[in-house]
Amino acid sequence: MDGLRRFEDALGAPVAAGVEALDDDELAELAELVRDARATHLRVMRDASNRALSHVPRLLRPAVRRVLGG
Amino acid sequence: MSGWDDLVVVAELRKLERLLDASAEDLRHLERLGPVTLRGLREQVEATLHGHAGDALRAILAASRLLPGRLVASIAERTFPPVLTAQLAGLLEAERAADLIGHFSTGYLASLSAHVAPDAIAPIVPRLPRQVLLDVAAEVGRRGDHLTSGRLVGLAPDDALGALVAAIRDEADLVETACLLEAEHRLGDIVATLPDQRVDRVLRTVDQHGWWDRALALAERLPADQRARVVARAHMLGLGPPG
Repeated sequence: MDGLRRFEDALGAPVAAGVEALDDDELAELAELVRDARATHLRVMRDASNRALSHVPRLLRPAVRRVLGG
Repeated sequence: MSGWDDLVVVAELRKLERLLDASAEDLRHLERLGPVTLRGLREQVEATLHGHAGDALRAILAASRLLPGRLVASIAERTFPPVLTAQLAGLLEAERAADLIGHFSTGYLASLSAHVAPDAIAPIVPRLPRQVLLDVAAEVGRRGDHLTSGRLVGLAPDDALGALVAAIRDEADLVETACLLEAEHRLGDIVATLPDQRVDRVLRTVDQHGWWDRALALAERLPADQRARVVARAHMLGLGPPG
């Protein structure tokens, strides 16, 4: 049951119907894959935003940074 | 499971591999979930990954509105991996997305197409200039990315479908694309765009590769008139599954 809970935590929602047929280890592995993918997305987004900012015309940079919340 | 179900399972596993950056080996055990559950799982994972960073993505979009479209595209292409731009595209209004897309290179759009959520870009595709769509489809085809070809063909407007299918020049690529088609209800429309000579070439390719299981699975999903046409062409050529 721990695997199911971890997978649902990773998804932020109850699993789709039928997925609970997977065993605990398999669900835990899926949870890990989803968590890794989410972490990678966040890192990629942060890095890309920082790189993008350096290409924005200098005059507009403060406004863009403000909207980005930086 | 039917032959068609097998094709769906393969397609869904390929989509999950791409979403999770996982290997086929990592996910092979999911086969036993069957096509319906596997599709539900993939859709759920896709929604999670495309939705979890919504606030940050919306902030990037808000910032992009401070800049001209051409500059936004130029910066994005130089600094954003296509997977990230694909997620942003899904949050854009269709008109603005179509405008921005016109400023990207074909190669970048082909890479981006591999990561977009079909539901998110369905309203965008009909607004794209036909030539952009065809160029991207041709590039995706050149890369042998059948999963993305299947997605593009599934989303193509009716009046662009024939040209898009023609842009997939290799018959083996066409069969692979059909097997991974996102919208199975379009199979009949696709076959309807094929002249008889191309149907014949497809059938010969199926025979050469020993792909009759796949061909029969695809035929299951064809409307009766197109199925009868293909069967008649196969009969005329003396081709069919062994035994």
